[in-house]
Amino acid sequence: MKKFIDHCCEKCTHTKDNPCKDFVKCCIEGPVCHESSSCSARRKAIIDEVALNDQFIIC
Amino acid sequence: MYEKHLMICGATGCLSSGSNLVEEALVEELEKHGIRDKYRLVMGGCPGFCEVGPIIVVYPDEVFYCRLKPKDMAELVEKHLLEGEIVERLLYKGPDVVVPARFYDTIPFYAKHKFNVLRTSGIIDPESIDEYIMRGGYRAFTRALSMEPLAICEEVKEAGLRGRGGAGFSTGLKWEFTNKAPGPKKYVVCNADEGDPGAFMDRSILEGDPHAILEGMLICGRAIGADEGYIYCRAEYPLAISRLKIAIRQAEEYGLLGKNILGYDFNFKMNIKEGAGAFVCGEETALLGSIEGKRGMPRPRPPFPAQSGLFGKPTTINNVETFANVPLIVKEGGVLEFAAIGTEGSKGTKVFALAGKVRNTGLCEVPMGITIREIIYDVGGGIKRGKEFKAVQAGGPSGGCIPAEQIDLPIDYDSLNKAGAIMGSGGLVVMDEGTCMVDLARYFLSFTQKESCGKCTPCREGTKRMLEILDRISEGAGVPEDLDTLDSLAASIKDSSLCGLGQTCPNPVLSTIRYFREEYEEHITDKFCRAGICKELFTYRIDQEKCTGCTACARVCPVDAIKGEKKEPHEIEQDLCTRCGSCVEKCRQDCILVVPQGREADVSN
Amino acid sequence: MCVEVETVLPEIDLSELDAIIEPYLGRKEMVIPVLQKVQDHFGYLPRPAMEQVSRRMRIPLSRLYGVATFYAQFKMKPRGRYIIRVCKGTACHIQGSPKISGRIEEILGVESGETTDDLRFTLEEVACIGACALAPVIMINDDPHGRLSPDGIEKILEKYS
Ligand SMILES: Cc1cc2nc3c(=O)[nH]c(=O)nc-3n(C[C@H](O)[C@H](O)[C@H](O)COP(=O)(O)O)c2cc1C
Ligand code: FES
Repeated sequence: MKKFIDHCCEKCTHTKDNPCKDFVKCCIEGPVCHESSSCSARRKAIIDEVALNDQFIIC
Repeated sequence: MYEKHLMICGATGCLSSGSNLVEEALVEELEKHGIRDKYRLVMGGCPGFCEVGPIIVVYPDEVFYCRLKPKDMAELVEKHLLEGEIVERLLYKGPDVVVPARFYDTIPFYAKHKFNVLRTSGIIDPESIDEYIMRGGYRAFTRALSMEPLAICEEVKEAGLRGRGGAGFSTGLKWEFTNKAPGPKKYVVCNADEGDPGAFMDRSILEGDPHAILEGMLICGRAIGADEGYIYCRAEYPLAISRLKIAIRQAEEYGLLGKNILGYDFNFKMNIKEGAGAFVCGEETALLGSIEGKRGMPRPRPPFPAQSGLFGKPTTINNVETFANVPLIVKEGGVLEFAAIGTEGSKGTKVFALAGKVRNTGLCEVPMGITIREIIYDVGGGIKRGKEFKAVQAGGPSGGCIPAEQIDLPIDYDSLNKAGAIMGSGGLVVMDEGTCMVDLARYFLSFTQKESCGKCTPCREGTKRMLEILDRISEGAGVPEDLDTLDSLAASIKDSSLCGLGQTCPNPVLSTIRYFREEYEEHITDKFCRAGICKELFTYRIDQEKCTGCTACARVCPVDAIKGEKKEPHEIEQDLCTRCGSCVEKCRQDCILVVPQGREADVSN
Repeated sequence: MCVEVETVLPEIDLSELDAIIEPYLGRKEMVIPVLQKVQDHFGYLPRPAMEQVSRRMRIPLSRLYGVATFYAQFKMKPRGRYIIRVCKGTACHIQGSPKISGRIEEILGVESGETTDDLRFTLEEVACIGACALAPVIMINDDPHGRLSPDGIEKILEKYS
């Protein structure tokens, strides 16, 4: 998983043609649709890559 | 994970100071030490302080380096990155700080800033949608999708957002009109034509945070029931256009543009149109005509675009900065947060392009209601070379000037209108004693005169007559009746023009006459331009007491009109002098005086 | 607004023109993008190209010229290798851009809107290029040059041959 749009595992179903309503929340806090610590770690890794510190969450 | 992030300003201001060369040098240094992949370099949006560019901000330390040269990079890499020591030499220094300032918040230029619209500019990579999302982006849009369209209009109205592109009309109300207009097909249009010569805030937002514009337009689309949007951007902004294209592609890939967005019954297609260089195309009806492939000529309103706009369909058209504010309002709890800033009638912040004779030029975002004094002296750091503040021009060619007496005027829509200026797009050009107000009025009028589309006679011909009079005055052939003629011409042009261009273009003339009448009279009766701008109306003379004979002026004079021995006071040979002003810029003693013609000899008293 | 349309026709290679027009056939609202692409290709809008655009897109030539001459971006004459754009924005004006353009006109012997005989430079004006902080500013092709003074111009122009 390199980008938020990539699937974290096969349980994730979000695509352009089959979107889920919580996509944006899912990017940051996800995964929303299933429980998986390794999947949330993958998402966190994307954030950590460019996150600097808490101050940079803008809105 | 990266050790540090280096944000290099890649906006036009810094590019022309050489930030691309600085970046190349930085990459080279990093590679030399084999540490290139430990650091993330982003050529990002503009941090605003163009005066001291090129700028690099090092995060997470938040150290602000400025006035950088390629050769400084070796030291920056070795000292800061490798040894963790701040390079004092490259920090911000200025007459307004005692010790070199390390961070944003210790630089006086930034002290009065309130970052809203420019919240991410210079911090995020404008070409990464992931970064926009993790900073909270597209959350407001997700929320809007779950809301009733009219409830979105209501929130925008309640927040008190007024258009940032011109007249300051309530954005929520405009959306409501379009929402209520009948018909299944509607459009959202973003006005990114930024025609005001002297303003570049829209460009900065487009280049620094393109996704914010897309999000604002999407929310608008949801609120008015539109499924297609157009961004009309000046062709002179190639970087903005390419960043917008990237942003649109990413949003499509993520399903934030397209069909059934995020599973809701909402489709949206985004298009970009490049302008082709016509100021009048910033006017909304002309802009719509230009998108349709016609000459950009305004048409009468009503019907307003909200009823019949692009291709005859109901259309909402807003400015870039207006759209950039929208996500902040529609996010959870955003209405109150937004409305807490600003004044009773003007909410939120405004981005100004501060230019002219102030020490610190650049972009600043400040709360509405800040005074001119605060902008010029606190943000702007005062007037260059310690000269006297004379006036500030607000609102570009449609606006007016505000004289030094009104320096405590709060900057909001209503106060500016009362003073004879307008908010316009937010250009603020500061003038000092070396600016001639007649020349300024002539400058703006010649701009609008050239840009008039020619459709209505008062605007096409009237401006021409006004310009001829101003030309005459500045050439020394003015007569006392000219001022009344200007007044009456201005009144008829304002009354009888079809669009905002004609209705506002006499403003710079009227406001300079209103506040600087004596300067006009001086041009007309005394044939003297005290600012030393109108070439026929003054001569230069060297102050014989002050001149040290440094020869700087003689060396720069292109026509060799300055004579004199080294270390002896110099003199100007009037027959040769072309009044090009090169010498005035070079003289460090300020001893080249502007005096009325024919009186070179007796000015000593 | 009247235009001079060049009477002596230089050699124009129209072979790639159809490919430029192709995607926009039947979409009259796209004339401006088409003209922009044509100008990108030729550097200006040559008369034979305009005629072909008119025929292929079924837009009367008069209307096509009507649109093209309305917008400052479109040029009807060939331009130089280097386009000098002198910023005539407000900030640049009060910081002395008239002196800058005066000096350039003096050096090149052409006025704004004109091209030198050797097709080296074309001198144009532009309203604000967004570098007001560095006023007065000129752009030569895509390079901005800021904080200029009249006596420094010659050196800069020398770099472009
Ligand atoms: C001559 C003229 C030029 C204009 N130029 C611009 C411009 O460059 N950018 C802009 O946003 N609005 C411009 N406007 C204002 C637009 O007509 C329109 O009011 C604005 O885009 C509405 O957006 P807002 O409600 O968000 O301000 C111009 C108006 C006139 C009369
Ligand atoms: S006025 Fe010249 S760059 Fe803006």
